[in-house]
Amino acid sequence: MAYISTPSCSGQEETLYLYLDDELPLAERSAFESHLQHCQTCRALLAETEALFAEIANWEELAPPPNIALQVMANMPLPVVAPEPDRYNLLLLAGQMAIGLLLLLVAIPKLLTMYQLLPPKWNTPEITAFIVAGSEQLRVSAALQTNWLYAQWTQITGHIGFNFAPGLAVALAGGLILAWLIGNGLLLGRNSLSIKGSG
Amino acid sequence: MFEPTDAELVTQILAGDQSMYRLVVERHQQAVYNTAYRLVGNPAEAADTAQEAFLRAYNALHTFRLDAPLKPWLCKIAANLALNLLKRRQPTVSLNDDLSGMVIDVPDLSTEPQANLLRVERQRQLHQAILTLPPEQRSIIELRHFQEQSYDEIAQALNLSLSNVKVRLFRARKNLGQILQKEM
Repeated sequence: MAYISTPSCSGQEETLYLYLDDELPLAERSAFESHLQHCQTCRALLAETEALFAEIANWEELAPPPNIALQVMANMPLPVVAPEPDRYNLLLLAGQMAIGLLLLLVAIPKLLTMYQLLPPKWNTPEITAFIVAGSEQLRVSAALQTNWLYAQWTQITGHIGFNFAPGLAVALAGGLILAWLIGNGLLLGRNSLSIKGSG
Repeated sequence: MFEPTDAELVTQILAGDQSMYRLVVERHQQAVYNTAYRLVGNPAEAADTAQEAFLRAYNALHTFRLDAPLKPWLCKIAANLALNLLKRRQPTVSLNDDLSGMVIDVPDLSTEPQANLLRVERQRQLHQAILTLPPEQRSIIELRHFQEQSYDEIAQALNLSLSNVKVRLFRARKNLGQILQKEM
């Protein structure tokens, strides 16, 4: 098809491209379509441009070289094999879970005594009695454990001449945090080594 | 014969069956190769770019949305690689540069049967015309007409303002129309 060179309305050629690309705002699009109805030159240019766009879209794809798939597969990265679970990591995780459960057992009496904050319909005599009884059992158990720990602490600090009662709670908390950090640090360290090894 | 969809292939590949990626390459290599070829204008570089595009796509396969079509995604990767190659190859070409001496690698289509000569000749003229465009105009024609990207997407891809995209696209199309007119 021959491309006829025709004079165009001043400034309409760019608008024509925007119109064909569907990039004109609605109001301008309507105005341009009205213009097209009255302007033979722009209609001819529109036809010419649509023909050009159709010609571009007619690009017939060329066959690629035959070895692309072969080259791609030959250069593929090796598949990453998921590392097997590490027994040491599992033991560390199990240990941390056990410590967490122990902490919960010590903390439960405190939590259960908050029953007084429950909504009124929950505050029946039967539920109260049950919670009180259960709480008392756990409190006694926790008190025994705490007393034992405190006794050990007192013995240890007595030997080294250090007698600071709140220090027990601080030492417990500090020791647990340290154990958690070391445990997870070791887990992370072993996992990063595994990833480097399989790369 | 049952042909798995692209989404099914990608799912299997992500599940660990690396060999299925060969089917993806074979299915889309033509489109990816032609995307690269229209931009770099050289069959050897286009093949290298297509291979690199597939390798990059494999490494990024976990980011692909399974409900989207795979071919445009692959072609976009190839286009970006080709554009980077063009940027590295030469600085911005002036729109007034004389292109008459430029050597274009256009495959010889003259061995086609007689009945197809007219169509083949038109294709040769089209290939020649697009590959004759300066790289910056070729890029914008590729992104608009073949990748069907919006003006905003083109602006982002080429790091241009919206007004520059409009001006550059306008000039590229005018240029292409004039080249094709000369060929007739």
